Formats: sequence, C-alpha cells, structure tokens
Amino acid sequence: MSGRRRFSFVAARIAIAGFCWLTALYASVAASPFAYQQFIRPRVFNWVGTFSAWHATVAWLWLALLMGGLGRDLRASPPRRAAALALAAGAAGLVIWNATHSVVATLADGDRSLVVAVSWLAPLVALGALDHTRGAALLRARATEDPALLDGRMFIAALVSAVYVATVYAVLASIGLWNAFEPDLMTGGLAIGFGRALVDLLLIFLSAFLVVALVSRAAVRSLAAQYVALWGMLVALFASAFTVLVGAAVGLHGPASKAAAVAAGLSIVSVWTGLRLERWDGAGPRWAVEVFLGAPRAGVPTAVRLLPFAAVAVLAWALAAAANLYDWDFVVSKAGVLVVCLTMFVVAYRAASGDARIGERTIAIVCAAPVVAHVAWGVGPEQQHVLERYRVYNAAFRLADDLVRAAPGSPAFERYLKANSGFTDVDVAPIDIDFVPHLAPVPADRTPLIFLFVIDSLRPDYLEPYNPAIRFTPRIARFANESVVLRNAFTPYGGTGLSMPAIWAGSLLLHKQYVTPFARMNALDKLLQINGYRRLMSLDHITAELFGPDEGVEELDRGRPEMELDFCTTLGEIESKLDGYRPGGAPIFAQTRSLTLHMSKIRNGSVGEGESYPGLQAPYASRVRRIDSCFGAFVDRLKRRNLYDRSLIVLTSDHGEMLGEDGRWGHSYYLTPEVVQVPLIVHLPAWMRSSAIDPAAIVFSTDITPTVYASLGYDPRAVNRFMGSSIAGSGQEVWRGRRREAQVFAASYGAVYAVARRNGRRLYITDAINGRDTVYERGADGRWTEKPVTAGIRMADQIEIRRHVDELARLYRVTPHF
Amino acid sequence: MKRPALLVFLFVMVLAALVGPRVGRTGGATLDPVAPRARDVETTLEAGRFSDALPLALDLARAYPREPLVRYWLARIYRGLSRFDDEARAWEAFVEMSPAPQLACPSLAEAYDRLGQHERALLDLERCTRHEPESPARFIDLAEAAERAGRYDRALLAYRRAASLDPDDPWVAERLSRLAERGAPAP
Repeated sequence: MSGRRRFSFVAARIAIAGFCWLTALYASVAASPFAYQQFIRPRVFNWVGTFSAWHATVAWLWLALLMGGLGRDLRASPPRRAAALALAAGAAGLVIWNATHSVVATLADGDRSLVVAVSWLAPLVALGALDHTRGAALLRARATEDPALLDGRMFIAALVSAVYVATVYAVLASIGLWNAFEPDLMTGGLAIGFGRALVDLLLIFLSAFLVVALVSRAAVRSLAAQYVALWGMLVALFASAFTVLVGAAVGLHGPASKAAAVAAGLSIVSVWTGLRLERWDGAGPRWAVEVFLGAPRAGVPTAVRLLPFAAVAVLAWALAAAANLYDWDFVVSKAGVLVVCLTMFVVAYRAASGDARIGERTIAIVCAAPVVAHVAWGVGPEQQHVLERYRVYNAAFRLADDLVRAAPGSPAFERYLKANSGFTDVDVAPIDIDFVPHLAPVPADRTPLIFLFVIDSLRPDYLEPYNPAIRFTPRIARFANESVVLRNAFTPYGGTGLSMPAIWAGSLLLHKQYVTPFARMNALDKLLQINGYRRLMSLDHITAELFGPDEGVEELDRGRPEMELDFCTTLGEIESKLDGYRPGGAPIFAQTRSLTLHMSKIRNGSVGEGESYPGLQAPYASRVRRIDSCFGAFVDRLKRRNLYDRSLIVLTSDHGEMLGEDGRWGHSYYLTPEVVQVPLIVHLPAWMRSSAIDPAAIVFSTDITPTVYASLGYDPRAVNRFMGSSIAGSGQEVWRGRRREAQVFAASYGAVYAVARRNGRRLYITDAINGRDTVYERGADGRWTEKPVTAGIRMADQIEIRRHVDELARLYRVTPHF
Repeated sequence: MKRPALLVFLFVMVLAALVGPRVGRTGGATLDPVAPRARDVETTLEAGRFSDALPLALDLARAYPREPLVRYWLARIYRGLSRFDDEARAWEAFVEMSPAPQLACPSLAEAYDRLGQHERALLDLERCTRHEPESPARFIDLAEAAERAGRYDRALLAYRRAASLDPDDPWVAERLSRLAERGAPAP
C-alpha cells in the first residue's frame, strides 16, 4: 500500500472509529439515570445536545466512509466478500434504524441505551475481524529470535517507561504546585511522593513485562497463540478501564454495563490491531507483541529516536491540561495517564536496541526491588497525609496508587451500598408524607407570602453571614440580621436530583429518581394547595417531573432554557407578579432554583471590571455578588410594599460545590464538607419571631417544609426519623436529639454516603465508587481537617449507614438487595 | 535458574505483592457484615422482631465468638426482649472486643440502671467519656446521671466539659445555670 493510500486508510478508519466511540460513549452516559437527569436532559452542555440532534444525519456520512473502506473486501474472495457484505448490511441497518426511529436523539436512562452503545461498537469489531482475515498470514509463522532478546527489549522498555512516566508527572506536579499553599509538599514531601509513584509505576510496568515475556515463552512455537493471548489481555485491560472510568463515574452496574465494557475493549483492540496489521511491511513480526507495538527501529539517529519521548511529555501535559479544563471524578485525568503509559511503552519498546541482552541477575534484582520496596515501605499517618496531598497534583501517582494499593474501604459493604443506591429496576409505590394528620386550611390572616429561593451550588463560605472575611454580600448580610441564620445547615443529599425532592417532601427519600407520582409525598405542595396559594414556580426538569402536568402552577421563566435560569431575571418576574397581590387575596408562594452558579458557567467564567477576589474562585464570587445585589433590591421592594413582615423568605441552596479544592470541581459524586454544607437563612413572618430557635444545632434542608407548616400555625410532627422538624417552635427535645444523634447523608447519584456526628462536627464519608473512606473534623474556627479513619469510626458509622438504608427500604417496602 | 523459571518466580512475587494485601483484607475469620446470615440478623433486629433475631444471632455468636458486631446485635436484641442482665453482659463483651466501644454508650449504663446498679452505671458513663473524650453527648449523659444520683459536683464538672466542647448548646447552658442556682460548689 502506498504512503498516500495508507494515510487515507488510517484517517478514514480513525474517523469511523471516532464516530462509533463517541456514539457509544454518549449512549453509555445516557444510560446512567444520574447523567441523563442532570446533564443530558437539561442540556448542561450545548454541544452534547447538538451531537445527538445531528447524529442521524452524520451517520449517513459515516456509512459512506465505511462502505468506501470496504471496497477491497467486497472485491476479494467469496468468504471475505460475504463477511464484508454482512458488515455493510448490518451497518446500513443500524443507520436506517437510527434515522427512522431517532434512536440516539431519544436515548434515555436505562439498559436500552447500553444496547445502543454495544450496537455502535459492533461494526468496529467486525471491521477488525476483516482486517485480520487480510493480515492472518503474518501470524502463521513461528518466533524467529532468541527469547532472551525479546526479554531484554521488553525489560528495558518497562524500566524506561516507569522512570520516564514517573519523572514527567513529577515535573507536572511541581508545576501544578507553583502557587499552591502546600506546606507538606516541600522538597521532602515531593521526594516521598516521587519515590512512591516510582515504586508503583515500576511494579505496574515490570508486571506488564513479566506477563508479556511469559506469554511469549509459553507459546513460543506459535505467533498466533501469543497474539490471541495478548489480544485477550488487552481487551480485558480496556474493558476494565471502561468499567472503572466510565461505568463507575456515572453509576453503571449490572450485566448490560459489563457487556458494554467488553464491547468497548473489543472495539479498541480491534481498531488498534487492524491499523497495525495494515501498516505492517516486509517480513513478518518476530514476536506477536510486535504486532501491537511495532518492531524496534534500527539505524535511527539518537536525536530522531528521542523525539517520540519529547512527544510523550507533551502528550502528558496536553492531557493534564484537558483534564484541568473539565473533568468528572478524575475520569479524564486517569484516562489520560493510561494513554500516556501505553504510548510510552510503545515508544520505549521501539527505541530499544534490537539486540539488547540483559543478564538474569539484573532482571531479578530490578524486578524484585519495587516488590521489596512496596512490601517494606510502611506508611505512617504523617507520610500518609503527605501522599494524600501528593495525589492531588500527580495524576500518574493517583492512578498507580489506586491500582497497586489496597483501598482502605470495605468491599462487601461497598457492594451493598452500590446495590442499594440509585434504584432503577425496582417499582416503588409512593408513601404518604404528612406533617399534620388531617390537613385543613388555616384562616387567611395566617397565610404568609412564601419565597423559597434555592441557589444551585451556593456555598455558605461565600456569604458574609457565614464567613466574616467576605465583603461582597452586604445585602444578604443585612437580610441575615433581620432573619434566622442557621449556622450548621446541611443538605442530606449532595446533588440536586434528590435534594430538591427532599425539600418538597420535608423528608429523606428512597435513593431513587424518582418515586412517582410524587403528589402523596409532596408535603409542601399539599399545604400550598389546601390553603389556596398562587404557586409561582420555575419548572426545571426535576420540578416538572415531580409535579407532572399541573394547571394550578404559574410558570416562571417560561420558555427559558433550564441552564439559563438566572436569579436576578426570575426575581424580576416574581416582582411583577406581586403587583397583582392584595392583602386578603390568594397568598403567594414563589420558588425558583437558580442556576446562576452552575459549574458549567463558572469554570471558564469571567469577573466584572475592577472586581477582585483573592483566595476565592473569582467567577463564582462575582456571580454571588450579583445575586446579593438583586436579592437586596427584592427585599427592599417587599419592604416598600409592606409585605416583608408577613413574608417567610428562605434563602438556601440544594448543595454546596467543590471549587477546585484538591483538584475537584462540582458535587454530584463527592461528599465533602464543601458539598454538604449549605447556607440556610430564614426570615420568619412577624408572628413567629418569638419562637425558640437553636441556630447552632445541626439542621437540614428537609426542615424547611415543616418550618413553612409552622409559619401557618400548624404543629408539624415527624412520624419517622427521616422527616424534618420546624426550626422554630419544635421544642428543645428535638434539637437536643439532633445535636447528639448521628445523621446520614448521601450523594444523589451514586453510592457515596456520609455520617455526621457531634452536631455536625465530624463527618465520616464512605465512597463505594472509589473504594475509599475519609473522616473530617471541624475545628472551633469552622475549618475542616482530614483525620485518620479508625476501625472504631468505620464500624460505628457503617452500622449507622446500614441502618439508614435498611430503614428507608422498609419504609418504602423495598427489599434491600445486593 | 533457567530464565523462564526466573520469570515465573518474579511474576508470582509481583502478583503476591499486589494481590496479597487485598486478599488479606477480605479473608480471615471475621464476619462479613453484609453476608446473608449477618444480614438476616441485622434486618430482623431492625424490624423489631427480637424473638426471631435471637436464635439467628446466637448461631452467629457460636460461629464467630470474637466478632464484636454479633455482641452488639445480641445486646440490642436482649434490650428489645427486656432481658437487661443479658444485655449488660453482651455490652460488656462488646466493649471488651470492639474497636468501637463507644457504641455501647449509653446503652450499657441504661441497662445497669434498669438492673438497679446505679453506681455501676455511673462508672460506665465515666468510661464512655474516656472512649469519646471529644463528644459533648458523652459528658451530658454522665452529667444527667450524676444529677439524678444527687452527685451535683460531678454533674457540674461534666456539664462544664460538655459546654467547652459545644459552647453553643443552649440546653447545657441552661442546666449549668440551674445547677449553679442549686448551689453546686464551684470547681
């Protein structure tokens, strides 16, 4: 094949494969209830919506490209022609099915999306099979070289790869640390981190060397047998990477996700080997491993030989930069390291001298050294802390350490949590959530105006009432002086998906999105309806799903895309609706969940001219300043209309946010102090202000609805321990209990749970997705510090989580399973 | 040594180093708390079916005599069955073998109280404050018990410690001022 034709072939194959992988990735992500509900449905990223909308059209181009590539096979001998015809027919069927049924454009959560993912990976596997019928002759030979030479090259490649990858990522880590305050990562800390990363990477690369060397020797008589074994191992590697990186990140479990993982592995190895076989020139490979890696290049000048090494460093930097731009639970970062490691191994093998012969003793000593270091290097609490900090900056160490070291969690417990979180395959009937047994309307003069303002992702430490160092929220500070500031407020769910329904219900809920119809569980709406409230609401996709078609709701922000729900704009609309309000008329309830601070707008957001927020996430702070100004103006207008004293105003958020702490952004899969703490400021109507309140006791956003009940004069009672309590007038015993009881939180979208004890001063977090658990304690200054997880804390808090999960399951009549 | 044998040896070594700690973490004679038999005990107990849970838990206790979780379940089952002497014994065994002895607080003291052994209950609450010296709740438990027993000086000290750990707790502040009114001695 000429150089030009070969280039066209490779380009076409990459385009074909790229489209299939993108489609499969999209379908796999859509299969996750969490990703579908939180990203795809509200179109958090416009390009994702564009991709699905245009997919059916672009698929025809893909088909044309595929057909063009099959030309040679269609002209070949009958068996190959038949296979090519079958592939062409299958691909055409896939595209027609996609076009006539809008398959990709209408993907939703569930296993059907995974079936679609697999069906778009199948053509790549079939193409790979065709490539192998052409290249099979190459594999019919026997090994033609002394195995010791292969050992030597592989050994050198493994060693060089480990040292080089460790060094490159150590340099990147040092660059990342440039302006960071990390007292533990001075020279000594960095040396410990580098040493540990090197040991881990040596273990991984030398294991790879041993595996390949053993496989090559075990099947020394047959290249085909070597090839099949290596092929299978690579498929397993990529399938595992898919499961760990994509599946775990979006909460995919079960047989369909395993099938998708295997299909992903098969497709990657098929494309890789297909391209390699096509490019193979001249004599056959000496060893099967050379089909994957290529043969060492003899007679190349040293400078040219070193160029790919420089390219690997640039690749590592570029992938790290991409991960820094946007990542999800370190998926991009980890995938980037995997790509760099594989590329490095290929580069190092091809750069190795063709006749490298290494003595047995050298191999034994070098292979044993990291094993000895791994076993003998005990890590004390101080060094553990240094390594935890180093993980934040060194992506290769993060991945290698996760692979090599036993995670501190409890696998059986994690399995249990995964099986009992994010229920999708269980039909659950709604239960009645009632704070008052026989709810009847109250007299009209006891119905305050109710404003429930939820600012998605608002953190308390960006507000003056919670952080005296903040100086850009004066209006909220003034409002707080006239209100109750709950200083110890948490969300029971670290994500909108469950935290918003929990606010409406005033109760913790089964870990399912969603138990519908929600009306029986919607304690707040029951109160509003029976008291004849005008309900002004922004109908984001969650509220719309919970409420269903409801003609009584007056929609705010009508026609505005969900991601454009802006606090200031919505407040303006509410103000205009207030014009029609007259005392004695239908009372008003207004609710919005503003997305002004959503992560998609913050990462690359800008700040106003002349604004400066040292030590803070500036685009986020700038938007908080704007929210403060609009909110202040709204309160002023309520005062001018004499409505302020007869209003119940709740300013809160559905969850907090990670704003780059430890390299983490967002919230959905993390439970950290930054994610679970929320602001909760409640302005009570005048007639409630004498009620006893304990503002320092731990409270939850599930306490908002019972507080609304109390503001109308009801006596809300929790009938189980999952229901909230009014922050005012609930009686001392309620808050005494709260202060001393353990409280359980959960991430909305995955098996990550937390237990708060000592009135919210200690948090134990168990992350079943990443197999880790952590403990944080809050000092008198409000700062959280990570502490060692003792066996006692783990045992006690895992009991608490099991009790919580089991009890919720009993309440909803679901059999906990795993 | 021939090279293939060397490679196999090295491979096994690396494998042992990587997999060993994971196997060690999951294996052994400790009870898997989410294994079916354990789940049966826990879910039956949590459902309040104490009579049904007891034989299941006793079975497990025979199979895992050093497993603290089983003692914890037994103690709670005995409490549900109002067998306070058995409850106290189960808690004592739990405290002796558990990494989380604080889970017996204040249940063990309550069991002694029910058995009329008030001084022993107080001693156990003292022990609880040592298990969790940073927990205001443990000091409040002790203070309340001491107050009930008329040991106001002891109660005052415990309330003060609780107040220092959680200065915002209005209930502790109230108890402190009431005790001061009673004329409890200054520390």
